[in-house]
Amino acid sequence: MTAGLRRFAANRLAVAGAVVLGLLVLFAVLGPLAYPTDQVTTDLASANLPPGADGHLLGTDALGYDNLGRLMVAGRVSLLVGVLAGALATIVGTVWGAVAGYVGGVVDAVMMRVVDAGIAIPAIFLLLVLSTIVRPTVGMMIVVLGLVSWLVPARLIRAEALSVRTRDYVVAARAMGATHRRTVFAHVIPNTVGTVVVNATFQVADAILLVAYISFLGMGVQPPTTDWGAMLNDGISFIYQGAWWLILPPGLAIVLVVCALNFVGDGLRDVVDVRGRAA
Amino acid sequence: MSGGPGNGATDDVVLRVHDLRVTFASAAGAVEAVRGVDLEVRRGRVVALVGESGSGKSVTSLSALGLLPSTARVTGTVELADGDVVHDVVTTPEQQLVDLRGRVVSMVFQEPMTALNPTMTLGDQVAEAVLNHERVPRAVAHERAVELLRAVGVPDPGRRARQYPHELSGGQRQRVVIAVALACEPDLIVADEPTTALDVTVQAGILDLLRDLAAQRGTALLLVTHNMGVVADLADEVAVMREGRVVEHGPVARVLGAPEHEYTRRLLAAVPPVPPASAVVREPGAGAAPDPGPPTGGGETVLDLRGVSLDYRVQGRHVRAVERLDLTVHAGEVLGLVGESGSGKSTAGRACLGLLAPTEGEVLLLGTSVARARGRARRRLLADVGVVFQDPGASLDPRRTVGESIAEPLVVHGRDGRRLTGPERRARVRELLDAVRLPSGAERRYPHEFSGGQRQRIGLARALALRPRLLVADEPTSALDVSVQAEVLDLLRDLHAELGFGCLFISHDLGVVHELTDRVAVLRSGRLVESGPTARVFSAPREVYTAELLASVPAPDPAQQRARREARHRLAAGAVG
Repeated sequence: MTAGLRRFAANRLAVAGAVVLGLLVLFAVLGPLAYPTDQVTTDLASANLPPGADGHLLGTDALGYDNLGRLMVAGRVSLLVGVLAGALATIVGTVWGAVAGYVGGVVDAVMMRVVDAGIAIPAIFLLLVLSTIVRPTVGMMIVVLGLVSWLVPARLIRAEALSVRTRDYVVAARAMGATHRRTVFAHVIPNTVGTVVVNATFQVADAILLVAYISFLGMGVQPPTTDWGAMLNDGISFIYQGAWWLILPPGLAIVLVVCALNFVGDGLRDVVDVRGRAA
Repeated sequence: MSGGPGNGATDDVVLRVHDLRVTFASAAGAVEAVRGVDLEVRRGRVVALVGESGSGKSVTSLSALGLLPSTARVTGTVELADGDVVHDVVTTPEQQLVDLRGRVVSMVFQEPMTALNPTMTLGDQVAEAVLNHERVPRAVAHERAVELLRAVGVPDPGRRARQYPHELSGGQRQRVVIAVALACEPDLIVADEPTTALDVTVQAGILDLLRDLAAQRGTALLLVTHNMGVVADLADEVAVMREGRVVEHGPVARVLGAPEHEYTRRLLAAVPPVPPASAVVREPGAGAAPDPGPPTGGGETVLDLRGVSLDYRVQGRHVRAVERLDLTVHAGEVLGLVGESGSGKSTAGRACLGLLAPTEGEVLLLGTSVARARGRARRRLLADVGVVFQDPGASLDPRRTVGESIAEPLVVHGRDGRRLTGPERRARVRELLDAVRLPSGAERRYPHEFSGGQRQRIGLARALALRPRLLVADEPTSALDVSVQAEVLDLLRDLHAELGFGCLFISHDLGVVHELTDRVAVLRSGRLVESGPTARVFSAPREVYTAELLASVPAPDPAQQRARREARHRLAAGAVG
């Protein structure tokens, strides 16, 4: 894979994306070790302090939580939900699409109509309705987001599988008596991996955005847990008081992570191209 | 005119290439594709550029039109005579080249389907070529288009002009491509493998057309091909290219008859000898004679097709691909299944692998019906069958190492009813690599690191991993250069002699089938035309179609080829009369 890494390195935007992503993850995961703050007890005496005041580098929010520390904790939720929901969507979508494309015929038709029906329902409304019925937790958000966003990868992978299944090496595997399961998992899915990996990065970006939407509308994870979208929602009430530090940092974090993931996806497109492997 | 016009051409040289060098910049450094080529093409002459893939023949031919990609660095001169003016294509700016292309030099491509625009009528496409260079009313251009279609032998050209490319056969499409090339009566036509994508009987017709055009219109032809038979049929002169250089150049009779260069000799020796053409058919119209079976007592029957009919479903409708086919392959013999594209030979091959269930009849593998076997019984049956495909690039999973690919049958089936351990598998893979003459260490590399011939040998190793009783080989050498093909065929023959499997060898190449097989079955439009011992069928065909097929294969010897051509014309005349 060294040649693959070299090709990735040649794509400057992708490298920049990977660096930004790495830094954001470090910030969220290890940041609190370097900059410990109290994110449990509220401190209304020091609410809405501007950056720099009283040792709070990015100020504090309406409940007196340190804003920089809150950004770290919120990042954990946003990234965790994004990555796991994206992974879930990719796995379900890949297997669904690969099976539909490989089997073809009636099975394919039925499986893809299910996908079409799913795509016809706007995911955001579904999520909003769900979160008014049950109180959302992080785990539930992951499952629900994963289950509404596997539809697009399923379509993509099916198209790939349709072309892969007619290749001679797949026919050869069937001719030598390999089981259908083996053929799908050993030959069909690995040969769609380019599409899978690239799409997975976009899935993660989409999931992070979706979490942000829902939380911004107040229907996401509930306090004291928070994520970047929820921070935006909390901060918007104080925008006219000039509390820019409540809005800009989480907004910037969302934009950065989504852009970075898209750039990394572009770079991966080159890496997973087989022909360059071990060249 | 700027861009290097020379003095008035006094001789009849249409194209003069001097010391042409072409280098491509790539990520892996500069690649020299052409290293100093000199070439002359005169009016009404056919010059053939022959060589194997990567020899630089296509790059040389494209340079005559200035159609090289922008990554190419070109030095030397490529002089094109335009009436009295001579242009050096290398230095001529693009705007002027546009004027030269089509009017002075034009091109015929290999793949007639992709060379035509599928959304335009054929008449429009030919007329467009006329309008590119002449200011005439559209109606006049259309009349010219119809004339041109008639000139290239398209039947009913008035009606055909209103049709679209997909409504024509491959051969007819290639005629239209030639009509487009002829539209402005160029002095030179560059034809890059113009018949490679076509069946032999169709190829023969296109070669006749090109020969007539050169003779009657005085159009010079620069023919690029890898097929020595095509060279013998059409060319006046031939230049043999290897690694970007012309290694031998001269009149076709001399180069093919008494080659001086070692490489030319090797290339010619690698061409499988074409069975002799005969203009006579024994017992004409006697129908498909019953197959007498293997010449010598023979072994047991490994494959038995009994009245097999196969259907394909196209948009809900059933299309019959094979009609009541009877075939047998015995242990230790090679049966050739020949036919042109669409004859159903590959479909029959798929049925033998159990990939397609017959609509009627039975496919018996080792006495058991494959279509009816299920589950474990079916898998055990398939363990006795190996398969090799045409495209060496597509038949190996690009994401698995060569070792994993070869070991796959071992993983799927185990051996003697038990799973193999890792070391056992690795040992068997090394054994197989050795058998197909690949170095050890190859098992750790990926398919794209190997050449086409090597990949085909890897495919063969995988097919033989379980010591099958039957090998189905579907055009295993059709995508390979002749010298590589010869190596793979040698290997196949040796392994066959050693392992004694029965082999169904599907091919359109009668030379290869002649060389390799014991018996042959000829298929046309899904029906068995004739079958029997190869030597008998090829020396004394009973059916006109077999004789025509044989006579259409061009032989790499100009004198012999002239005789074959006449035999073919006599057969065609006989068939009509």
